[in-house]
Amino acid sequence: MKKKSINDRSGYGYLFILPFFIAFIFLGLYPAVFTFSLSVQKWDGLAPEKFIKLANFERLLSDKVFYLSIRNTLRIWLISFIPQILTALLLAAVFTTYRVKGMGIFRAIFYLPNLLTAASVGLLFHLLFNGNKSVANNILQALHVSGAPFEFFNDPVFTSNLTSYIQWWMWFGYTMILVMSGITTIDKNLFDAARIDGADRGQTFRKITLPLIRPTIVYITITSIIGGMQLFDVPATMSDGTGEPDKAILTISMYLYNQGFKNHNYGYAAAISVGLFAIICVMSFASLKAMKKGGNKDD
Amino acid sequence: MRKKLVSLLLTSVVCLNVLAGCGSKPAPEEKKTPEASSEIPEENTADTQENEGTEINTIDTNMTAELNIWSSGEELQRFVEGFNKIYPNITVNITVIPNKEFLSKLTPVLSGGQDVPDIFTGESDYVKYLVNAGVWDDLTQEPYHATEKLNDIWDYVKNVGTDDSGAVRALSWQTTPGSVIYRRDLAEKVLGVSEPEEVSAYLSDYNKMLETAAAFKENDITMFGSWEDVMLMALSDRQQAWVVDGKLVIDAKMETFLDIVKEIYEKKYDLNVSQWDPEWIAGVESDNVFCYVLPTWGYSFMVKANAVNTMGKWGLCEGPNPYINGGTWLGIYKDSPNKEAAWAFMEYVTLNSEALQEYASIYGEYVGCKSADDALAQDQGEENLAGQNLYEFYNQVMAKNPNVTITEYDGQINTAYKNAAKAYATGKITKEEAITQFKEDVATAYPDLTIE
Repeated sequence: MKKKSINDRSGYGYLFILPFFIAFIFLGLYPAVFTFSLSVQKWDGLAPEKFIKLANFERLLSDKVFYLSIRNTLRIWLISFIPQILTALLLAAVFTTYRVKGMGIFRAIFYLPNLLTAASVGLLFHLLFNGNKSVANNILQALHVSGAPFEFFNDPVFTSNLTSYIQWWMWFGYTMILVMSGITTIDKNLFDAARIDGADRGQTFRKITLPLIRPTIVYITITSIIGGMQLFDVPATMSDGTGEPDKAILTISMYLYNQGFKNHNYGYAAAISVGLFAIICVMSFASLKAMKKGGNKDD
Repeated sequence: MRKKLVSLLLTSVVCLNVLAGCGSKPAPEEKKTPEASSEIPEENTADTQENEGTEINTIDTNMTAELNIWSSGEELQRFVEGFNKIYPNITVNITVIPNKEFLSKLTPVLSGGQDVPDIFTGESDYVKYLVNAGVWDDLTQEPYHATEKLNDIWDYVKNVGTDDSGAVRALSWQTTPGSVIYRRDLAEKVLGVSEPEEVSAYLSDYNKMLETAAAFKENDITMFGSWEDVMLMALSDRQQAWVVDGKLVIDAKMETFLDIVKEIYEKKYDLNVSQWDPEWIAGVESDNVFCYVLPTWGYSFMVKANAVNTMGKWGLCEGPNPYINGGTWLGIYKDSPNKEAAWAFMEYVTLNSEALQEYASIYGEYVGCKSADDALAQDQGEENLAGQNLYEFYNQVMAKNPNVTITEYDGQINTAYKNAAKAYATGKITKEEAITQFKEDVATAYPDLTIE
């Protein structure tokens, strides 16, 4: 009681976190609330807003293109995320168990694609594959591949998978570094004990490393879901914003952008945004729950 | 439990950021000086000066102001030097914002009403949206009174800038009639003729044009850069716009055009790339692309700008129908504090025949002012066109009054049409399915339109 006034510093904590919350309220919370209010209005950006109750959401629930964009986004994310986490685990395991010469260089090279702007990567791949005289077609023709030149961007499956590939290529290095840092926080004694008990490298990885980096994996999964569901730059630059061919790479964010800034349906775009928010919330909580459940079993 | 709470809180904060990202308004990318609204000084009638050709101008050329202009292209900057010779005290700040981002930058500023530029441009894809929204002032009213001066402007420029109530809200320095920009040497080689009238005879209707394409194909020459070029011409072949009285109209000509696209694709009459793709541009310098079907801007910004080895080998002729496509308009913001200065600039850029002649003689653009185009038609022809005078040529096209069918929906509807046409041409869907897909896409973009 007597010393409290001098040594009690708990109040300072709030002071230190205050700047974040101030910024968050104005730049995060206010726009978010504004989006919700916009989603029940009809607004073309210039004329006065009109309150239309839940009409935007009614339209959203019966909008085929919205569902298509959800399927596209999920497919592109899943096809890039699974290889991404597997590659990251494998490379991290190799880098942390073996002494690889020039590991730092490899790590930097793997991480490098992540430093490029997504928009320029999208444009770059568009240049590589677009047209009969594209780089890819030139190479294939020089190798006398039958059927070349191919119309790559006329094929929805190819275009969608190419987008996934780009996402994998850009993000596996980043994921690998997170996994590696997760592994290095594990107490070395555990590995020593395992070795003394006769566990081989595979067993150690499965029984010790994997369970102990679970929090890292949870983090990676959730941030990847959030990022993946918001995917925009790469498919937008690759298809000039249309999501073609056959709307195969029209993601939710692209659809949202097109409805807002191209069709001037800002209210409806806000409704899509709320829909996207709901999807991300559900997926994030579901994955959190699924992994927590698995975690408790081991405890 | 506490850990769970924290993680819950953190997750929701991250999730909320998702929403915030979508809702926040993008800010224009440049450092803007907010003190643009310097007062316009009292009119000094002693300083009255004649400078606008036939009009006697009572505007004070010594007025001081700072004008902020947003433009989707570089062209307006080219007028500033000449303008400042007449109005030395008006500072003109031009911010160029790429066309693709233009509206997404402009609409938030307009809806907020803060830091709106005094003048901003609108390209043909969305100019009607801005014109009909009434964000630009009516130039026939106070303080502009431009009605009489508009007689020297091509109807196309005036009509597109006019809203449904008849208010003229936007004008342009350019008019954009179209042509078939063709290679004289390749025409000589395959058709045995090279002069515009002679080549036109081979392109007098769409069927004949495709027959000619077949003749070029036999000589390993691709007729077109892209079928998307040809679509610009076909759009003026329609009698009706995409939207009439809130209803989607698919002109019979546009249904027929689907088959033309299919034939071009299947028989490889084009490079099978989109406009502005590197390969499409590179075709200018190759010896196996016969023509580009493009309006004025396509000639000056694309063909002429890229012709080095093919310099002097080009010609302009007419295709199956006269057409006009594209263009950039500009207008004065309705709540601008600098209306007089803004009008001085706009008048200089869009109505000053001498200024436009000077501009055109340097940059080779076909301009919106009739007297300027007439004067330029008397000059010598262009080197790149083997002596053909483009003003004379385009004057002839304008005299045929090509159909103008611009609506505020065109940008998105044309995209939907192209996607459907491509899917049909490549054999993914039937013609009926293509039309259904087109209608569905339009309905998705504009749910308020009636679509049958």
